[in-house]
Amino acid sequence: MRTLSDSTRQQAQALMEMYPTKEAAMLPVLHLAQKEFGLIDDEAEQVVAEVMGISPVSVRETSRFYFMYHHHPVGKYHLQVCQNISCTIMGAETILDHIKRRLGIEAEERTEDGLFSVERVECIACCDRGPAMLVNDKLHTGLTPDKIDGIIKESDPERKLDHMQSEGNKE
Amino acid sequence: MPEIIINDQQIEVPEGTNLILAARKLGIDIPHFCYHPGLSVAGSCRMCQVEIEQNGRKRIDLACTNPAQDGMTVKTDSPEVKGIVKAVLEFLLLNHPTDCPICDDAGECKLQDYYMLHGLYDNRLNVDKWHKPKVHRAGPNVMLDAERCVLCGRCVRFCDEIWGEKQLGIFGHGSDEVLMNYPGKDLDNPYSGNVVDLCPVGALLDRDFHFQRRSWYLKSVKSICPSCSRGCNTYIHFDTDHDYKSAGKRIMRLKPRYNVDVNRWWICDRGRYGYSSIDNPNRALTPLIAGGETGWEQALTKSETLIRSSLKKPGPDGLALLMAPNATNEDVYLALRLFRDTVKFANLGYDIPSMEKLAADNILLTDDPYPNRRGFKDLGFGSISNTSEAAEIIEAIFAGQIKGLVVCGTNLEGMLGNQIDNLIAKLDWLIVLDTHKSSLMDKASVALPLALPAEREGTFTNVKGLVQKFEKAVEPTGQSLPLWEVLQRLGKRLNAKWSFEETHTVFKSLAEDKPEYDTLNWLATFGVNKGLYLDSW
Ligand code: SF4
Ligand code: SF4
Ligand code: FES
Ligand code: FES
Repeated sequence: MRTLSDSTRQQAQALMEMYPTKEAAMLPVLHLAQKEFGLIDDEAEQVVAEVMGISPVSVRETSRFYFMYHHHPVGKYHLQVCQNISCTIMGAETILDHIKRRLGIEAEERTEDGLFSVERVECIACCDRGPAMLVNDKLHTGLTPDKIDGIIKESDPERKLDHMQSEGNKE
Repeated sequence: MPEIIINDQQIEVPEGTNLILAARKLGIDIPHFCYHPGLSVAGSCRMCQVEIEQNGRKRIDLACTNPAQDGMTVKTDSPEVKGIVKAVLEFLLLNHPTDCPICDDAGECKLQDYYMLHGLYDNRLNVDKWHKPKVHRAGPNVMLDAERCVLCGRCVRFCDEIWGEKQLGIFGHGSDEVLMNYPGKDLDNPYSGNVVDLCPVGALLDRDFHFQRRSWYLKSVKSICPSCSRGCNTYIHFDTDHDYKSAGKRIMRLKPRYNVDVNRWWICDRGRYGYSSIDNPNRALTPLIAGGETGWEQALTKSETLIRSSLKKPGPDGLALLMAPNATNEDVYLALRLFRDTVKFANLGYDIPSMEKLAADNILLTDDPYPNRRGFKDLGFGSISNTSEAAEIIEAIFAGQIKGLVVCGTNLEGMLGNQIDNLIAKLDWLIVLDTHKSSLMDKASVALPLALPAEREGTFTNVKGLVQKFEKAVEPTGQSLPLWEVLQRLGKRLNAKWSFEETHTVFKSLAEDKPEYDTLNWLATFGVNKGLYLDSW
């Protein structure tokens, strides 16, 4: 069974002490665990339950409610593409299609080499600069197909893009 | 105490009473799924909405989360309330599989009842329903059909609040939400069956009752659990008219009966699922003489002869009775009048250091697997000359001091193992009375078959001294008889001066100079009930 590093445990402890009930620290502690494990699967839930001294059922009730916890492995670069109204008006669908074509995967999937994964997310609070997406913790706004290609190239310089025709590029 | 008006009827209720409870006192049922008086209030299903007028303002609000407050006027049947309840129900039923024809809960399901009372709309959904796990084993006793769940959370709160460990949870989001045990961890607490009673729909089900009977075929009597000294109040649900499946199965299930002083709404799994010993191929069916089947007349004549033959020699000191504390007060009383007072056995014992101590907890289960140890004490079970414990009696037999032995239900084989034959060899005769076949019965001079509590009426006194009556559900198996009746017949042959015709006259006689026993009003109990639960939520 995996276990959390001492420093993460200490951070979790500090978080729990900030609130009148330790359950209140569940969301940030889950984020800490996700950072360390890369995802929140069954085992991670049980580790968090053990660290927090609460039932794994309670941890699962929380972790499965929120979309920002991954229950399956994501890529080294996790693209979270906003699908809410402002971004959609600004062309989020085209952006998503372009990404899918470039990477050869569907939304909520991961490339075979484990480098990239794509997820559709709700508003990430950059509605004035849509279409927007997060790559891991980094924000990208005013997305165009070219910008997407740039981001992919920057993350994985070896990746070949030209063999795939993107409809977005034809315009 | 706040005074309120519900649907034009006035009522005064204790401080803190919520509107569902207050309305119920007036016989008004406010529809609800998540509320249960034994659990914390969740306010999550939204079914219980009512119109509340207070301080000149009207609002629609939940009945379960609102305590009655002085001057409230509540309406449960205004057109607006009816519309809201109907809409909530339509949402709850949106993805419900409506597979009532194959659902064990049909006939006792709140969704069904509320649809008929408050729904009656046509389905407006023209896309496919969401699917969820359908036949899922939640634990050793309970199965789950997650599609039928209305996510009321009663089962979740039961495990958390009553048992003390969260074994079920609601996982996911939106239409995806699903009630489940934690993957790889069973719903296996010793009270797990209660979630089946709590579930307002057919999502959580008794595995042993799955596809066994339609609920409307069941009849019900009030009973007392004989599986430990708590004496939880139960209903026996039985059916002798639709035996299309499992030949000979009459008792279909046990359900808790509300008693605030004993078990509230709950029973443990040991008690709940222990009924399989009743309709069991191992039941003792006929009297035996030296292992050969015979009738009651011959067997009783033989018993009489054996007992009479020993009254002079070895005499009272050489005679003993062992009785397990699962006999009723009526049985104990007649056993005393016969063996202590009439034929004057010198050795009467029951207090065997329990071989199987139960894992007691502070919910219901006690460590004593017998239902009537307290009754034995209260009625002064024991002999006049010797205060003999069962263990001492057994020693005396091995020492050759006791020559004749009557055993009622005591598990001597379990106690003595292969020493049992040595014990029998020391005796001139052995009379065994029991409910289930055993090699002890086969080896006895005479063996007499006894009825179980479900097959007769009687009283047990629970660990706290409460005298509780149970009723007869089904006829005794084979030729078996209630113990007190056997003692009555034997007593008559041995010139006893007393005679009883019915269980309740025995009880009356034993209660005569016992004020704690005299309080039980024997006749103020029901016969076979049509409605399965008189106290369902
Ligand atoms: S399984 Fe039954 S009791 Fe549990 S949440 Fe679902 S409907 Fe409620
Ligand atoms: S706690 Fe004891 S009396 Fe109650 S149901 Fe369980 S075994 Fe029966
Ligand atoms: S709608 Fe996309 S960031 Fe708000
Ligand atoms: S009973 Fe009130 S909200 Fe469920």
